[in-house]
Amino acid sequence: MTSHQEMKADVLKIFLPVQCLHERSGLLVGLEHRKQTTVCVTALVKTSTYKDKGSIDKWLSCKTSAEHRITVVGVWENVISKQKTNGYMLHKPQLPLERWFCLRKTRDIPQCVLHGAWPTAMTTEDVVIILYDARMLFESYYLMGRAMDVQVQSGVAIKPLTDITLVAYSLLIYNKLAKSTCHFDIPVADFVHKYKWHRSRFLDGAHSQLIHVLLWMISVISWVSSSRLLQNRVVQVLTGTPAVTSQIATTFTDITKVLQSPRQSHPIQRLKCADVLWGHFLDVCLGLLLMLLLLHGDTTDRLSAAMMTWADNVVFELQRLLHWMMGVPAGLKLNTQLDQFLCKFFLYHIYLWTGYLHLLRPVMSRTLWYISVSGCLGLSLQLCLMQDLLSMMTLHIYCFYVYAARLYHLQMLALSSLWRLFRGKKWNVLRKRVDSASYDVDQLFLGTLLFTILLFLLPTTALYYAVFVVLRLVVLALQGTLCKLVTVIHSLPVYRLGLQLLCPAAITDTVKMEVLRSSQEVERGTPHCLCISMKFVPASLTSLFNEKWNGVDSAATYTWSSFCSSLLRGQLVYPWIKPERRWQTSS
Amino acid sequence: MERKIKWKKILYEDQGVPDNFVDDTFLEELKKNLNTRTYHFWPVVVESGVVTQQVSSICLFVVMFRYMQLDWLSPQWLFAGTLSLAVTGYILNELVDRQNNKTTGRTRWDDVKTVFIFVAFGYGLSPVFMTLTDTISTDTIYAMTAFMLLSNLLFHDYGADAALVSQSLSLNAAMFASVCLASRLTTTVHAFATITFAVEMFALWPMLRRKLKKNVVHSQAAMTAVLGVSAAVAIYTLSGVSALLFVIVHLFITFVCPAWLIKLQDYKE
Repeated sequence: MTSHQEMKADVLKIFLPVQCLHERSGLLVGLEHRKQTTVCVTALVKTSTYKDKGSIDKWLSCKTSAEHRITVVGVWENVISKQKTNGYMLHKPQLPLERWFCLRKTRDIPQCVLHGAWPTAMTTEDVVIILYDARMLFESYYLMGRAMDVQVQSGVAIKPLTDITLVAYSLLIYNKLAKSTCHFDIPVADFVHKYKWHRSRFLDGAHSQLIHVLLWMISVISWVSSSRLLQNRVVQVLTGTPAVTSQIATTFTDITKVLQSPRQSHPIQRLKCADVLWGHFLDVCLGLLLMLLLLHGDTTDRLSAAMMTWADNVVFELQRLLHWMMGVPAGLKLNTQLDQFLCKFFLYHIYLWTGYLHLLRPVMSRTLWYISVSGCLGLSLQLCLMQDLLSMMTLHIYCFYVYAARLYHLQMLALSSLWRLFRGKKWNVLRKRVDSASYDVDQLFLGTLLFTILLFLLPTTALYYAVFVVLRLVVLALQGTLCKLVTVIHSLPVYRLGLQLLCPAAITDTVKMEVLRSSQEVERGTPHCLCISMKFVPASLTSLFNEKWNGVDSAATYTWSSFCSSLLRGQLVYPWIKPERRWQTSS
Repeated sequence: MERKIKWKKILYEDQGVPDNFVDDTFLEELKKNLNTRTYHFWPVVVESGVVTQQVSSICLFVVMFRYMQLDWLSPQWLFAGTLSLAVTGYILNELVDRQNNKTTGRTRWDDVKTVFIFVAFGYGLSPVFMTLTDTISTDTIYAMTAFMLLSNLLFHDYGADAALVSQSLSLNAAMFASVCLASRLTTTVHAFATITFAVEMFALWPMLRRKLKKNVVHSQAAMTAVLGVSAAVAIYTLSGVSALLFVIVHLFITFVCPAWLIKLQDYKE
């Protein structure tokens, strides 16, 4: 006790619910944090005297944990209240406590009188009364979430808390007490108890049967997907490559996470789960909208006809491009023989491709119809199906790109190692550096011959590679747009945005302090305490988006520089097929 | 006042003079040019042969290419000449090894394998060489060849122990140049003959020259003379001015440069 008094106890902070101001006189109940000289008032007992002390004490001692305990901390006197006030309270109230305070509201802001064993130097002027809105604080997911994170050891928080967390924590403790002691007949002016977290209880009650069924289904699917067949590497690659399957896997993982989360979990966890569920709901709504749009009239037929015409045009343009490259494109010094060979090869490939298109033509309209119907499962699934369809339609471009890239990459590798041989050096694998080496004459002879040949053939290969990389990048840009759209749909914090619009208090993030001044100036010379009003500031839209998208961007597989360097070196690029996202289940 | 005590180059004793005093004996212990080699004129003239031999080899190679391009020399004859020279060189090599009782660790089978690699790859790839640089202009090819032959000359191992010397780089540059030239000729046999001749001139011949110089007395001067004269004659058949230029350069390297070196030697002291 003495050690507490000797501490820097310069200011006593009293957090008072703003609802208290309109209540009649009574006893203030709350939590005292001696270490931080802070008192958080959480409720008001509407009793005029302390004579039924026994029942109040009994009520308060119900919570028998080692945590902080709710106690009677002071007296509230509302002088201007029109209600008939008890004489006991108006004249010298006395509480049989070690230390307590009396808050007296005479005009518009309360004043404080300290009683009992407070630190010696503390006077009324050292008291700061902070008015907070208990209801709004209790509704805020973020602040209550922070309070839930508080770790307590033998009645003391492990880390020093911020004031706002302290208040939220006190409210939490009080709420636990109030919940477990509803049967007591104590006239409590409770500011929070009747406001339940009704919004977050979206999983409770009548849905439990449905959830059981869903959980059972999830366990079945997890069991199937963890079987040896699906864990096979080939199958994993096959299922991971199309955007649709990875999309389904992501959705499955999201929903599993939501359903398997414990019900009385953390408020922030609930918020995230609600985001996911509402996000999927919005997804499905948008998907249905697009489906209606596409199924209206013969839209799919016209669309498929347009797509097939487009594909034919692409084939025609590619043939023209190849014929142009067979000549002397842009005056480049190409090797005629190799150029002819590559050109014939690619032309034959296009010929094969037209056959494939003829096969595709009859089923195209049907495929589009199915895609539009899949809108029942969400817009993101539709978009992924379109992405896959685009991949199928441009398979030839992808093939060209792969051939050219492999050839180019191989040539670059050979050239780089032969260039080292040309200079009489070699790559030391163990030390990861270039060392000088002595070669035999025949090795040098052969190496130089190959080096010369590859060097003079490089412009031809590089031209083909460059042209097909550009084509591939165009397709990739289209696919990337679709992919980004899906990511945006998935990462949209729908629930939070709704809260921001409808009930900003729920996503309160920070607070703002405002000094309250009495409308009638307090007489000079009389000691009075500072009164501060705490205003809650809802999280801004930008902060919501940033919070959500920070995680998304960090999952990107390529940076721009690494992307460009792998393009230059002729390595194959798959910008958004993440290897770790391939058909993961229930992990 | 006359000093009785001899001045010593130390600071820890008071010798009655200021700290920055410098005596006449201060620089007595300085040693200069401990490792100087004194050169004499004629040995340097003989040694300069390594450079002129390489220059002559390059010139001979270029002249042979020009002969083939002008159709004065058929590739078959060039190949026959190359073959006979190679056999002669091989026998000479063996004789020198035999004389010194030195074994190189290479078996006959290794030699056969090397020859096979040269011939097989040279012949197999010569159709590729033919069409390799069709679309590239002849001037570009000649410029590249000149550049590569110059780097061959620059990086060649003349026996000096310097960081610049790189045996493999010089050989590779020469091979690159020979491929460039081979791609300017008309048939695959031409390309093959050029490549083989280049291998002999730039890979095998310097090795043999080094060995002969070390083991046979007076061979250096003889080789220089033979190579220089034959190169000069060969160039003369193409252009008299070039031959004159070649002779002047040769004489400059052989006689003026050594004299210059001897003269400059005085500045070492």
